Amino acid sequence: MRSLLGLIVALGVATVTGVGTAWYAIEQGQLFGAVAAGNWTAWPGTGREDPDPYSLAMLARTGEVPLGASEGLAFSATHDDDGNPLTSACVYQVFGEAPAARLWTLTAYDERGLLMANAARRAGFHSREVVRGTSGLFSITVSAEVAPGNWLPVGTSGNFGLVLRLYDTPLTTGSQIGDLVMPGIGKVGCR
Amino acid sequence: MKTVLGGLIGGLLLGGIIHIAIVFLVPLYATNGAWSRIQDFNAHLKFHVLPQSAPDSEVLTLLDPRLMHAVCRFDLESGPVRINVTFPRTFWSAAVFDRRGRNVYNLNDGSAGGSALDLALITPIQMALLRQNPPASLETAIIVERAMKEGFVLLRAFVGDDSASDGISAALSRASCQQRL
Repeated sequence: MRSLLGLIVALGVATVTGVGTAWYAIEQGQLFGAVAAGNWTAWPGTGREDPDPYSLAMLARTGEVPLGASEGLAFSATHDDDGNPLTSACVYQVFGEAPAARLWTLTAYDERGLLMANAARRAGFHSREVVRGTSGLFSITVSAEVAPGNWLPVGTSGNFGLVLRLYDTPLTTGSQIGDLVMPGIGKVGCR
Repeated sequence: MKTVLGGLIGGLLLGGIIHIAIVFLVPLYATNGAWSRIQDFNAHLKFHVLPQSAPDSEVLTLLDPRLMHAVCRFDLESGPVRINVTFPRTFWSAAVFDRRGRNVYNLNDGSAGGSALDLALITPIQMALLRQNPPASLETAIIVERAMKEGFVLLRAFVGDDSASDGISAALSRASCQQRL
């Protein structure tokens, strides 16, 4: 009777920890391979020739075709500078400077990783169309409602994430990503 | 008490095994990978230009909406594959993926040295046979020698504004992906 109890405990613990940690590592991508710079996270391992097993499992689940080292690197952010989730109900400023790259694009995705329908039919912003201040820094307004200047529209409901893709960047080895200066994401106000 | 403790420790060990098994089995059984989605395109040994990603029309996950993409599927088992593309002046890159989604080779316009891409995909065995008598046509190509069978090539080209999209779309649809050297 007592050994049966031990067996039930063992099987319960095994299922919960095994499936739980695998789900966390693969679906959330948070356990291995993620490199953070401020609010932004990149997975440089996914675009390598020999990705680690976690990156490979992530790719199989998402269907993503990752950027290789000589193509670029994608960073994503789901929280603002105060640590709150990005939500369509608020207006944000993405400001500062992007790391060295020949080209970058900034795109908003919904919680399922899909592009968000918006009134302006603008799916992203790129470094050659962004208007910069006299100091060379940029500021992009991210909001559901029309904003003057650099405006990246998002959908009208739900949380969202931002993806900053750097093309032809020297950073793709991933070693110095932690020290990078990435654009800040400040909350301006909420509806 | 001892049995519960033993159960906990045994459970954690077994949990670790389950974790490792899931991580390794997911790529073998997941049906949502890029390879299975590409089967739906008419892209076997020819480039299929993907519609530029827009809300409610994304054919592959997380493709940059400001870039235009084309994909060609191949199988090196039936012979080497040659890729030839001439791009307009813009940022472009090309990547070779195997069917598990590994980005096995990639380059951009800067590393290719201009607007023309000339890639020869070949297995080490096919290459060894060729070494005795290499065809002259190979001299101009970037040779990608990989022990792989099925895979696909993904071209990415940056569309700065709408006026450039017709030229880029035309260039991608003229791209060739053939079983030859």
